[in-house]
Amino acid sequence: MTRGQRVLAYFGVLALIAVVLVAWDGVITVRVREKTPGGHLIYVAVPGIMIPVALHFIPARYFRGAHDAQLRLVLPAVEGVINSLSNISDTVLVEVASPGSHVIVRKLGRSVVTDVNDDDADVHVSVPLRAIRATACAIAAKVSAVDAADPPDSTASVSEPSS
Amino acid sequence: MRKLMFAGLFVVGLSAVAQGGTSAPDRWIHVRVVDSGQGETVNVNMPLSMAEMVLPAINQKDFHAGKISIGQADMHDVDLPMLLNALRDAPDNEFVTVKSSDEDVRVAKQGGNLVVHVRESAGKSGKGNEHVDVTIPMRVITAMVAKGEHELDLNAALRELETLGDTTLVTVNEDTETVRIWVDSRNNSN
Repeated sequence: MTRGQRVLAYFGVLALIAVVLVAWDGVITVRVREKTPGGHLIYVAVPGIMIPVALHFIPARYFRGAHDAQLRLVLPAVEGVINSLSNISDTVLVEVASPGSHVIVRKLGRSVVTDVNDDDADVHVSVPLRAIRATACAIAAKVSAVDAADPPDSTASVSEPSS
Repeated sequence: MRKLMFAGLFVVGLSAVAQGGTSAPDRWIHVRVVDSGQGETVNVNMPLSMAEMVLPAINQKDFHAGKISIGQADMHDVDLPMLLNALRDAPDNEFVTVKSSDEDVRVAKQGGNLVVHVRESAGKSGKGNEHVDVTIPMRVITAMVAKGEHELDLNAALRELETLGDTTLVTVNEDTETVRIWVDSRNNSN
């Protein structure tokens, strides 16, 4: 194999890895277009898998504060909402229109897309459902790891409402 | 070849029918607020199944795990579950009627629904006309109070709503603002 073929092979492998990363959890995209004169156009695209991977490298101690009943309730809810969203057809979930501002949150394909259009800027955020689920799972795993090392105080669980 | 094609189409048709038969249609809850005075419109469309997932995650004061706790003190010693149970067992009737020069309130059980109508006209209050209509199927109320113990089970109410037909739950019409909450099987509020 010549040197050129080797370089080509490396690029091929890198491209394949990139495709796998993108296909795994989709791509989170953020686009901001400022409407002011000389305003910026910012576009960020991150493979969805990057967030759970990045979470993996955050030390567990930072999740110690997550000994929180609310988080324990929210994580299964996120999972449930993502499952529910996966099973519905594309639709507008929330739309708020007022003079000078339009916010729309919709399910589009396999993503949740938020568009905010006001006098200052257009913002478009697209987050794949799989990326949200993977992130919630990664947080849950971190919280479980903290729990295993340092069991939460039983009194800190869901508090009973006072009658 | 043609036979094979027809056989293939038949199989595809059968599977489509089978899928249609097994998957229950999603029920959606819709909220629409139109404030023509401010030029503001809010639309929320949510599958009831998703609302069921979200409710248990809310844990605020008297609202926890999809249930609202009703303290006796808040209800001035009125036993709300008992009251609603009595309402469920009562025949169709008008329970409350209040008529005044600028206000008309009616609470009734009608066709298996608890119906509340409020008509407020621009009078002494100085406010504009206001029409409020609330219709809650008794089955939903029954599900809400089934567990009793001074709490309303909103999750059970949502599950019950999933089994009902298209229903308008709340409409509020003011001079410049309208609110509508309804349940149907469409995924948009048009």
